Amino acid sequence: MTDPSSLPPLPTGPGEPLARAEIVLTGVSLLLGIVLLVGLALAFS
Amino acid sequence: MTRRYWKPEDQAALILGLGLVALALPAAWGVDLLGWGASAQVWMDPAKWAKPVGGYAALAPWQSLLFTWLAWTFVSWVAIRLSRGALGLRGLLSLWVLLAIVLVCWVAGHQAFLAATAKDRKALGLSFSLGLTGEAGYLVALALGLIVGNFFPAIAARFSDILRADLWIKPAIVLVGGAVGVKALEQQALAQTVLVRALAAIVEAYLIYWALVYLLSRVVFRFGKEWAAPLASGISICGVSAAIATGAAIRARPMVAVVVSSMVVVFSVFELVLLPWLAYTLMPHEPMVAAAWMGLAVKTDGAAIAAGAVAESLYDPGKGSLMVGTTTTIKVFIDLFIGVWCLVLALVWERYFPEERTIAEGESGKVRWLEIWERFPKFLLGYFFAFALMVVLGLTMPERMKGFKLVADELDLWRKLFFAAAFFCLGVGANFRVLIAAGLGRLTLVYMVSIFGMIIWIALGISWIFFHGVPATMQAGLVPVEAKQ
Repeated sequence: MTDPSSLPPLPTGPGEPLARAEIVLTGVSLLLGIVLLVGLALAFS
Repeated sequence: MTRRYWKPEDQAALILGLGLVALALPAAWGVDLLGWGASAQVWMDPAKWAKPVGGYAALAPWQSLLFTWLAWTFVSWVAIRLSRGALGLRGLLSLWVLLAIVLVCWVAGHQAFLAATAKDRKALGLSFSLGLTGEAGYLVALALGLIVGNFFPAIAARFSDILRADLWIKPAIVLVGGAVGVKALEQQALAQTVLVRALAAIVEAYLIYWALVYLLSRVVFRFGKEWAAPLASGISICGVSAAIATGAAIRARPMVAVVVSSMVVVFSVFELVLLPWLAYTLMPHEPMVAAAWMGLAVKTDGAAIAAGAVAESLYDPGKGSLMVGTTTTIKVFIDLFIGVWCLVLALVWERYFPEERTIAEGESGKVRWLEIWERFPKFLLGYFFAFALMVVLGLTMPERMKGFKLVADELDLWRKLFFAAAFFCLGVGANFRVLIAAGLGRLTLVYMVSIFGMIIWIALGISWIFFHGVPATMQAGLVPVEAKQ
């Protein structure tokens, strides 16, 4: 089992590319956040 | 091979966390079973370092600490028995010593020069303090752990069989659920206008912050997923609890969450000093924007509420001020989302990124939903159960709200002690020289860029949208929701 006190590698090179799931997760999160922000801002204005 | 859908560590976390909730609950009906627990206080006079959290005022601080120490040893022994089997006499004695060390660290972290914020200084007769809040206890525990681990390896070896951070982290997250449930209910008394705006503000702040910080960490600073997710939660949500819960949900190594949490605590000092003053300078006629801004931008509960109080003293809106209540509400509501977001992350990670764990444990094969359930960090269910239980009880028995608040305080006390123990354990096992040599600078940079380059400005914009022009006092025209008690 991985030593819990160890650290995962810190970035030294180009880094791993974003996976599709990460793009979807952050994309949906951002989109939802912005849509809600605009919608609620209009509702409260 | 028989599948184990409930891992022993998850079972132990649920039994320990929910067991403490069950023991704390009777306090709401006047049967205070855990009220003797030592609640550390910010202190100058060593005689005032702690006081009983509940109705045991006759207990001296040392007696309260002694009871806490003994009870903690017992519950830890139970947790170790459940998760790993027998613990010999030597192990029990090691546990006793370890917990004593953690308690001393926790109390030491509340020393006024370390912990007192600007609003506490006058009462304590101080002209200067670091303002780290009581959460400095985590840093003291981590620092002592690092010293022991790096300079006294023989001593560390004696504790090796009980130095397990996950033993503390998982039940602590269950306790967060119970305490947050009560704190959310407490905010019902705030004016409804403010409450609705606070909820509206945090939903999109949360969604926007997290995604941006995650992308910044991954794409610009090239951190791996194991770093980026706890960093995004720690920086964008509410610091220590969020980083630790996220780390556990995606099965990151606990040291990641500890490093992130330590940075959160240190940087919150700068925010606490800078933001109230900046708010007053930039918008002297918008106290509610300032109050919301403190809640959305300052990490750690203690620092955020302290920042709200400092802002309130600068604006001085008068009797019936809603400023600190607004900051607190926003901070509490943000905390509510820890569990929801960790649930989402746990599902995504188990479904799409099982490889780290697969490599670590030598397993292979497709990831099916049944396996996702098998791997799912089930202590999160304890978080939701404790949260739902407290909300349902609070809503059905509003006349008991004062008692439920005591329950929350008692759960919070144990949560903080568990976190402190996790920090110490990880400090002992960590070689910080590796981290410093490899990239602490880059971690610091991503934190600074995220907070000072993005989050505080997005938070200011959102606070402005929802709170500009909102009166800062009850008397100024807001209709308060009828208090439940």
